[in-house]
Amino acid sequence: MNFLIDGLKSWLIQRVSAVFLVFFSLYLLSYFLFFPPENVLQWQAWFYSLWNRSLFALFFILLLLHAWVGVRDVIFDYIKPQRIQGLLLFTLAVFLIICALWMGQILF
Amino acid sequence: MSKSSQHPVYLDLTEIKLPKAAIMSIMHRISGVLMVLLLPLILYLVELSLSDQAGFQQVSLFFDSILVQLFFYLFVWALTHHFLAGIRFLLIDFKVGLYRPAYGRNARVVLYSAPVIALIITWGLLS
Repeated sequence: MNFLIDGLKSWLIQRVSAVFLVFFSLYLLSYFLFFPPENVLQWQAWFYSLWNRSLFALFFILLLLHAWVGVRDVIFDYIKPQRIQGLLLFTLAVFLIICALWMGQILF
Repeated sequence: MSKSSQHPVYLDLTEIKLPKAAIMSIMHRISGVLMVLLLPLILYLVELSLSDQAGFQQVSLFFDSILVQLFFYLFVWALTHHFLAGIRFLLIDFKVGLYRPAYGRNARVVLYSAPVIALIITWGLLS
């Protein structure tokens, strides 16, 4: 878990996840721009295909890691008192984990 | 320490002209936080749209409202800005566009192209 607090490793995680997120965003955007689903069946078929399920799972984990590093930096920058910092970081972690579980439920 | 507490303070935000790179950077941060906050709403909409045809319709109708479309544009702008500014930062990590004039130029490119690209994308997605 050290990589979540450590400076250099977090920086790297943020960059690497960013690269993947760039490509995934373009993939997602292309789908909605050029092949928008017209009904729930088309949408479900695309979303729940094995390929997309795995991709979305990976994407979402990377998104949450990216968001964690980003918002964590904001907290570090603007909130100096240690205890409030800790509380906010904890809240952030809980928030992101709940989002992960929710996405997991949607996907599987 | 007394010397530094006597330095002049100037905080008239309406008069201070920040460099474009600074504006671009703080917007990158704000757009990031904004999107994180919108995550639950996005997950809800995705879940609803996948549930059944009725849910799918509800989400479609949701995006028919002008107010929603306006907020959606702001979201797409946030995403586009964050995306482009992020790429600019990644390039800077590899020393591309690190020095003037590229530094300022790239910042302005991101800052001004983001809302335009966002508009095009929003129009493409909503029509």
